[in-house]
Amino acid sequence: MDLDSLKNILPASALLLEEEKLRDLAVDGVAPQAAAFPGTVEEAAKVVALAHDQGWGVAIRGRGTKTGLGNPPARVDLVLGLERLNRIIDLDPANLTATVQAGVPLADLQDLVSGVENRCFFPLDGELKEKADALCSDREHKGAFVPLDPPFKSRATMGGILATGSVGPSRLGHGLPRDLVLGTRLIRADGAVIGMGGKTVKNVSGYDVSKLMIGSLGSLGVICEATLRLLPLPRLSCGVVLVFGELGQALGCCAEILNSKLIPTCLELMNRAGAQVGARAALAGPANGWWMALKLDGSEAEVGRQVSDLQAMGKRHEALSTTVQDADQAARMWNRLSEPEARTVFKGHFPFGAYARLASAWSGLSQKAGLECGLSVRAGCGTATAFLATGTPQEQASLGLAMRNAAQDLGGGMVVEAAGPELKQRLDVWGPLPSGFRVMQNLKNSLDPKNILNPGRFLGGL
Amino acid sequence: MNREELAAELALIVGQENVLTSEVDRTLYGYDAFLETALPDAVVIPGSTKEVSQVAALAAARGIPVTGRGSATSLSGGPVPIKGGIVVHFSRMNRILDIDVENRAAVVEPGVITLDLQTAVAQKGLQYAPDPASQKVSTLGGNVGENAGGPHCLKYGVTTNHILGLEAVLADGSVIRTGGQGENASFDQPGLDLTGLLVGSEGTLGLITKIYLRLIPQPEAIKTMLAIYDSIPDASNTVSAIIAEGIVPATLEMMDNLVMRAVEAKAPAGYPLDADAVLIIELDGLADGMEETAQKIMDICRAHNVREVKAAADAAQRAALWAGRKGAFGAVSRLRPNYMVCDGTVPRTMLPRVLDQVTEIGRKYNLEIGNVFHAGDGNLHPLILFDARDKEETGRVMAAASEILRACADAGGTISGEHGIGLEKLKEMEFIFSPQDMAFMGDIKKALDPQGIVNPGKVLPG
Repeated sequence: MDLDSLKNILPASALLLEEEKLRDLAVDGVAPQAAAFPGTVEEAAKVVALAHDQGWGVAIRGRGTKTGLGNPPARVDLVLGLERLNRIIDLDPANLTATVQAGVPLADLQDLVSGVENRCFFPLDGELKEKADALCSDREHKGAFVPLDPPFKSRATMGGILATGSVGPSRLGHGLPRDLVLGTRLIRADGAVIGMGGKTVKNVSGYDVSKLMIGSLGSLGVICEATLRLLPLPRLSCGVVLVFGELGQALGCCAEILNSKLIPTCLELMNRAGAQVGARAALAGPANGWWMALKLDGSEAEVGRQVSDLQAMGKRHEALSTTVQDADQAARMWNRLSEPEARTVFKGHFPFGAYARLASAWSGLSQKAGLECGLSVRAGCGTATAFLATGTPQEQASLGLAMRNAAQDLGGGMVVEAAGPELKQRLDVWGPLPSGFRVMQNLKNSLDPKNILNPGRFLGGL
Repeated sequence: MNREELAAELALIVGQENVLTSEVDRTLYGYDAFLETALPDAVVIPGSTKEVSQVAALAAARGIPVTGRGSATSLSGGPVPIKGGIVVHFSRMNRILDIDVENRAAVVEPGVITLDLQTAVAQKGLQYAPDPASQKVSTLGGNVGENAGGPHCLKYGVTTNHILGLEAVLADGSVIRTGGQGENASFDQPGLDLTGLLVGSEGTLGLITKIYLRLIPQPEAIKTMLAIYDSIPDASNTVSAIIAEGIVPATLEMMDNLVMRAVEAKAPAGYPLDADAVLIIELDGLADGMEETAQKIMDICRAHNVREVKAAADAAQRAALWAGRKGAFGAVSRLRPNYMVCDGTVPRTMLPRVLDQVTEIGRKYNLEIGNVFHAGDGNLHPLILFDARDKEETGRVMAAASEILRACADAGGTISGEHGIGLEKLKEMEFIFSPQDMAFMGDIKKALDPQGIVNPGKVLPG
């Protein structure tokens, strides 16, 4: 590997060449020969262009919270670390958009936008420029938020969240990254910087390239900047946790909620090990119990109505307890739930109405396997996650395969969201190839013909 | 291959009665709501995916352009067969294949009229949210092609946020499924987001033959308000102030005096004839707290010098307000022989400034311009009235339209919010995209359509 050419385009402080430190950046045990941490998009583009010339395999990295996702790499010559691309390009609270570089941690952006008090705007830009002429909101609950709450949200960077399409429980209320990104800038495989989309909510000017980039695991380009939708902070937030002695009761209550007019922001159904992740101390409650956690946002009247309806529903379905959390208690619980310690994570998806069958099937399978397995079913979104804390790679692989089969039988599928290399040798990360795979290959060949971007890691080795 | 031979080969696929070749027929299938028209060599009306696939394979083998067509309500020339070839008209593929209440999904053929699906799902207590004003006539295939919007997209998102999967016939005649397999489709299917790429690609990447849509519950309560203003800036400042207050209504629509007069002359909806602008503001969601939010909105209207603000008393009044808004384009078409709609979109707070510029541009080119648009999304629809038989006037219209789009782009917006680029805005693409950006999109097009025969000449210039 020609390291001199790399040294020519980046200062020494932006390069990591020591073997020992590079081992920490290994992807599935494959350590790179160098790591570059560009400080600007232009520098990053130069690095990609050089890698393209040299045919280096490039592993793209933010803060490493998603390194466990994907097939073992075909090759890793260079790690491209984006954590220094951490500038906020534009914060427009009046229009509820933020444009940030890929290395900005979501948590930093959340802190920033939650405190933006300047929701003033000039009614006729260009004519009235005096502060006194600005229109200002006098609402008490100022501030905005990025409506994303993916796993590891305390550390994850925006680039990583978007490249992996990472989502959390609030997708029930706010949608997916694909719904919330208005525009992206990316570095294509030859180093050219491409801008797509913009900062308007509606946009059908040209192809929706942002959609193609989100969830593509960096296989088509390096996301270096994104414009996101913000939402105004709700007037009131609170949580409700219901504990049930049996899965059947929890599912009955869940069905009643989903068929009601209630509009919770989050709804997660968890077995004991799943719920334990969100608790500070050891959970009280039955060994085979199920926990249902909801988050509610809105005005006092909206939240109050939902809390009282949920309490009544809990009673009808024989909930052992119903706890109402204030905003801080709820936030702490959801924060803990987003930081599971398990190194093996499976994510299943299934048709909306199949959550009860999926929950029963996965619960039965994990009990039969005898492994400590946290389950979290996002019933209103058609997804479920399994967190495995124990078991050999063989045991985990056979449970994973059974869970995948169960999800497929219901019309869905399963992805290994995080795992070590031993498990990946035994259990395919992405599952069967989809019908449009040939088109995906054509896109990859057209946009990254030398196959330098995260080679081998995406579905089907893309 | 001459036209007779082509028609004969097509007849072998779809039957003689489903191939149209007379000059009258070819003329009838060669235009949409944009100005340019063209003559296809033949029109086919296939009855199944298999037939579409065979038609596409024939077109590929002969190198003949093939262009899909629904009801042709499009405003930017999308279905106009500018390079001749085969027009594939989807009027026979108009079946609702499944409304799956349990899984909150529907499967339709592309020729289904948008409102027909909405009526059918409403009877089952669900809704399909995107509601383009042309929903009585437009097809879902066309909505997917253009990523159609509509008033309620302010809260619920545009078409792409509601499409779970597609079946598409590609340029070589092969059939792919995106978003899953069998009867099921999901946003969580791993792999590149081909659904997201195809939606809004204006029929240039393939022919959509089946659509898997997401259905959502109907809201518990709806409240519709009409706010009447003596000045357009007051109305647009109200829009920004409502959003600044942290309220996201279901719709925030604006209409100016010219449009209101046109609507009232055609089918009275109860709009004032002497006001400068009205806003139609609709709230939906839980009944609890809605009255309070409505009061807050009315207070904001008053703070911005509203003349009068009133709530629709019943469903009939609400329907009348919406009938007027949705019939606005049609009503305006009675004033002059033609109108040209611009579809520029700007960050919401830029609305007052850009509306001023639109008025100025109208004055400069001596053209009458009406405004009816999705104010909450910043999506303008200036309607320029003219007579296409007057070539000189038409020239001024084209220049004014381009200047309006330039003003939108300069304000940080884009040149199309929901109508697409089509033929209309090819030369304006450079307002927002660099040559490298367009090359990137060109590479995407090549990956799916290497011969460049699927709806050629649209979206990408050159």
